[in-house]
Formats: sequence, C-alpha cells, structure tokens
Amino acid sequence: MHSGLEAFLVAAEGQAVSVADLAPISSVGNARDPWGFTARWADGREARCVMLVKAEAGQLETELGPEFHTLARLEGSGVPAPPALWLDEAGDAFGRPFFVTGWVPGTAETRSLRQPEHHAANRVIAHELAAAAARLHAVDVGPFTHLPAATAATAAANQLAAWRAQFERHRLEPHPGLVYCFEWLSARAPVAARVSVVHGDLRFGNLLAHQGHLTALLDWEMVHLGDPIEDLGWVYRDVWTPAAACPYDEFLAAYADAGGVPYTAEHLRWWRIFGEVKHSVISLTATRSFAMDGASVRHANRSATVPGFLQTALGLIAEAELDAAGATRPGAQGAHDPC
Amino acid sequence: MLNPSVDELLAGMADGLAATVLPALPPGPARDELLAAIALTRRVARAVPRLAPFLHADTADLAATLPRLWAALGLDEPAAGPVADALALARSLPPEPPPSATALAAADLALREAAADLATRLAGGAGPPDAGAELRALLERLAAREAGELRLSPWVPLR
Repeated sequence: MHSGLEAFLVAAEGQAVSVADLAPISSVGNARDPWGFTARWADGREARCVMLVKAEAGQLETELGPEFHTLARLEGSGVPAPPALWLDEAGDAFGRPFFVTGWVPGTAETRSLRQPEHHAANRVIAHELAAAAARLHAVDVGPFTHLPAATAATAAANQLAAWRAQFERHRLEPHPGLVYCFEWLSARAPVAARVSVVHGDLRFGNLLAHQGHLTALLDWEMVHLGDPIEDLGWVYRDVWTPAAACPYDEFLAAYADAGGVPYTAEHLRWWRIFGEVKHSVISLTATRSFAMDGASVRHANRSATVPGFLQTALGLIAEAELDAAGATRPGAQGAHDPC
Repeated sequence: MLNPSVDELLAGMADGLAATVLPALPPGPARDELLAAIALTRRVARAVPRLAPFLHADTADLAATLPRLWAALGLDEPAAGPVADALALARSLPPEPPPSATALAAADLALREAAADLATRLAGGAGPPDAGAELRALLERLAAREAGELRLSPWVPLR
C-alpha cells in the first residue's frame, strides 16, 4: 500500500512526493477504512492527510466518486468538511479504491454523549451541527451535477424506492413489518420545500469536534440531492441522539434560527419513520454481507438491530394514524408547524 | 430475526475467526484458546437445530425404559422430587417429536411471507380500518417478541 500510494501521489502531483507515518486510524465505520499519513513534497511542503479506502464488503453499497466530488464542491461553502485532495476510484494504486482528504483536528467519539460532564460541550456542538445542517441545505445544488438529479416532488419517493430496492435485494426473509412501513411511507410521500444537498448520515459520530467545537462533518458516503428534512429525521435517532445534552426541539429551533428549511411536524415524522426503515435496510445489508459474502464477524448479528428500529417506526406510524384520525374529527387540530 | 439462523450465525462466526483472527496469532496459548473456541462454536452450530428433537427422543426413551428397569429390580418409581417431575413432563409430551427448530423456522417464515403480502395490501389504506389496525398490532407483537424474547440483539437505545 505504501509504495502504491506514493507512486500514485507522484503521478498526481507531477513531482516527487513521499509518504510517511502511514497507519490505520481507529474507526467504527464500515464503508471506508481510514488511514492517516503525511505527504512530503520535493519542494519542502508537507501535509497531514487522511486516506479513506473503500471497504471490501459491508453494510453500504456506495462509490467513492460522489463523496469525493461533493467534498470538492463544498470547499468555500461555509459547510465544515475535510478538503478533498486526490481520488483513485479505479483502485489502480494498490488494488482498492480510495480518496484522500486533508487532516482536520478533532475526534468523532460518541461515548461522551452518555457522560453528564460533557453535556455542556455537546450542547454547543449540537447547536453548531444544526447551523452546519442549515448551511448545507442552503448550498446551491447547481454545481453538484455528479449527483443524480432530484425534484421537490419526487425526492422522497426516489429515496424510498432506492432503499426498497436494496431491501428487496438483501433481505434474507420476508420482514412483513418493513414491507408495511415501505407501503405506508409510499402512500404518504411528502413534497420537499426545496431540493438540497442532503448529507444522508448526519449525526454525532459522523462529525469531528475539537476543543468543544465542531470542526468537520464526516462520512459523506450517502450524500445525495433531495429533501433537506431527511437529515433532520436522521440526526436524533435513538442510537446516536445527543438529546441528553440538547433536546430535539432545541436542535430544531437552532436549525430554524440558522435559516434552515421550514417543514411541518407531519413532514418531519415521515422522515423519522424513513430513517428507522433505512437503518433497518443498512443492517440487513450488513447481515447479508456476512451471511453470503463472508464479511467481517462485526456484521454477523446486525439484523438483530432491526426489531428495535421497527418498533420505533411502528410507534411513529401509530402516532401518525392517531393524529390523522383526530384531524378528521370536527373541531380537532391538525399537525402543527414546529418552526 | 430468524435469518441468519442461530446455527448459521455461529458457523459464520467460526469461519470469520478462522479466516481473519487465527492467521494473525502466533503459536501460543492465545492461538490454542482460539482454535478451541472455533471448534466449540462449530460443534454448537451443528447441534442447535437438532436440540429440540434430541431432547424429545432422549426424554421419551428414558421415561419409557427406566420404569421397566425399576420394576425389574423391584424398586418403586419415585413418587416425588425431580425424577417424578421429569417423568410427569415426559409423559405429557405428544407422541410425535416436536418439529426441529429448522422446520419451525420454515413454517414461521412462510407465515411471515403471508403477513408481508397482507402488509402490501393494507398499508396503503385499502381494506377496513380495523384490519389495518389489527395487522399493525400483529407487526408490533412480532417486533416485540424478536426484540424482547429472542434477545439476539446487542442494540441498546441511547437515552
């Protein structure tokens, strides 16, 4: 890997570049294997870098190009993200595709979410995450031609169809609960207020924080053009919620204060249900990669996370059905706009 | 979740450990321990689907044979205690052995496929509202059983 990477950088830069301190970075991610290294140019420049190597089998089916080109186009946008440097999408350098970004200081660990002594710091970071989301969702999508186009009317339906196709490809059993959720969501797909760049995996754990402040949003492998409220429905899921430090309503208010896209409670709930379904499909994909493709033991029991996600989704659907029944009663109030 | 089944999970874990962890360990106590764990895991994987029929056959055989042996030796059958309880349980078993876990899982999956078909029909709002609510209640019970009783999940909500 070392010599392959060095030869790749020499070819890309057109001058001698050496690679030093190449070492894996500890990560809980599954789609990319991160490595750190220092690049040294012949002219004396030096830069600390992160190389993200595509995992051989796992829970996501994503290519590197969309992620890399998104980072490149976000430079100068005000969205905190690592700078994109080099891409080897074909995997010519050492046999596996990878791209390289600049090093950004910070840690992505999430243990502090459970530790009260870190709540004040995490609250600040949650507010900065809300502002970063609002900034991302306001970015002009015009230059993002490398991502499949979306319209406000079809953004939700397209995402749902894509994840349903993945579900039907990877499930190892019928999963009637998920079938029900897909059908329920399909019958009620919302229209987006605008088409935005959607991170697709926006949450604590996928951000770097340094000295109490957010320094970068990471893990853009699910980025796409779509309904910005999708990110809001994902960011506070139970498995990674920072609610102990910053309640969901407070986060949403911070998003609105930062100029975020408006939405209704019903609209947000649709995307929260979608989030549970999407994570279920990711888990089923991971399980299949273990069961059928011999992937890491880490993926072995991922399908066992699905019942918990499904319980949350069915609970939200029951809540929506109650609201809908209430809304049809004379004098009953409809969904309110939390913004 | 029924798939991958418990035996498939165990066998896959053993294969994964043999393919990735084992080659990284030098000869020594840690490698020996891992080799033993892999062998044990594979043995348990083979045993899991056979456990229910085995227990049925074994218990029924013992319950039928031991009284004849006690009688042959002029001994009374225990009237109370663990052996008496076991005999009572064994005699209450149906004459045929219960289906294997594999056969039961296949039946369960067939029924779940039928439930998925109903979900497709009812989730969009077709059919009477009561039927939709009843299906949703069934799906909630299925999810609760998997999450609470099957207990294969390491997932803990972060509160």
